[in-house]
Amino acid sequence: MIIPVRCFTCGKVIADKWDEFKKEVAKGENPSKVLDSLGIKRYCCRRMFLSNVELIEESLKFYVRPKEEGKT
Amino acid sequence: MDVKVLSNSDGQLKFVAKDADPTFMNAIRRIIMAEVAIPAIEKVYIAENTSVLYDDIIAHRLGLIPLKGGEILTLTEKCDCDKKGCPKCESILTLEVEAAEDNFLVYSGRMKAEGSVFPANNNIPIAEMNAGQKLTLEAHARLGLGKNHAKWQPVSACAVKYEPIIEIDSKKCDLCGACIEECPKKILKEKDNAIVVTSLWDCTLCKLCEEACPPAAIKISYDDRNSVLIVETTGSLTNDELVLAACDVMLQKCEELKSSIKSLPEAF
Ligand SMILES: [Zn+2]
Ligand SMILES: [Zn+2]
Repeated sequence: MIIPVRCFTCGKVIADKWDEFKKEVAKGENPSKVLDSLGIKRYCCRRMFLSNVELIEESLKFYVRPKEEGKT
Repeated sequence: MDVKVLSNSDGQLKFVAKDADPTFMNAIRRIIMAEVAIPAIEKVYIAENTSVLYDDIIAHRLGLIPLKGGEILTLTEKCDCDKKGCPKCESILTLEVEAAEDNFLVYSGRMKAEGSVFPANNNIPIAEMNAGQKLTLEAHARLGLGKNHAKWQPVSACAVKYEPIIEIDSKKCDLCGACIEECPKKILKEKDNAIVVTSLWDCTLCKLCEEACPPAAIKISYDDRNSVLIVETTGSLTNDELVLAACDVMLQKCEELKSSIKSLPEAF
């Protein structure tokens, strides 16, 4: 859905590093190198980034704005 | 007890305590994880939420945000308000956002502190919203202990490890380099026709080098008189504050034990 605030396994705060990760990976950088540079060492935290899908952006597409409600 | 700091940076502290019993170091570790009071959001009153996330999800995300401050608060269990929550044991944070554009991210830094407690990290996304969506809420932060909920745990990783002993028999060693290859932490190196250890404390005692060495020239053991404590804070308390707070809790426990023994009829 949206990046979890903490790693499910160890509890490290990871959400603050998501933007940076997303930006670098979109540029074509190797995810493994980005995670290393962000200081994400353990594999429990690394899978939080690698396996996250921003589904919230998909559900936002279906949001109907109140003023448009009459038309649709 | 002789303490040497191996590293102290970026929310991670590593220190070696020579001649400290591992059971004692483990007691400190367990107090750090379960009994150092830090603030976390406990109650959320949502006035308006038109975002795509349910109220429950937002409340859960808010709870996990590490908070700083709150030294003047008392634990709600020990407060005279009968666990209801009052200004003495709670601090309020508010959030009021209306997204101006699509795919707008609300960060923890937008929360306004009305009391002594504020977010330790300003870059945690709380929700993503489209233009016109609104989120208005009031969050009440309380002090709590890690044993009651993980949100009150001031550390993520916290470990005690014995001192590794790596013995290399230079007479048996034929410098094949198999141990250097095998070590997952890459702490062995060849230097001047001998295998040397570069960073002893990174050894995880996995003994893979022992198995890889055909002439059995390398031997791994440990010394449990010396131990290392690795603490990784979430941001609520700094490394030093956290270890010192744990020591205070330990002292307080000993003090309580002492006074209850002294109050026995057959006093010592
Ligand atoms: Zn983790
Ligand atoms: Zn109270």
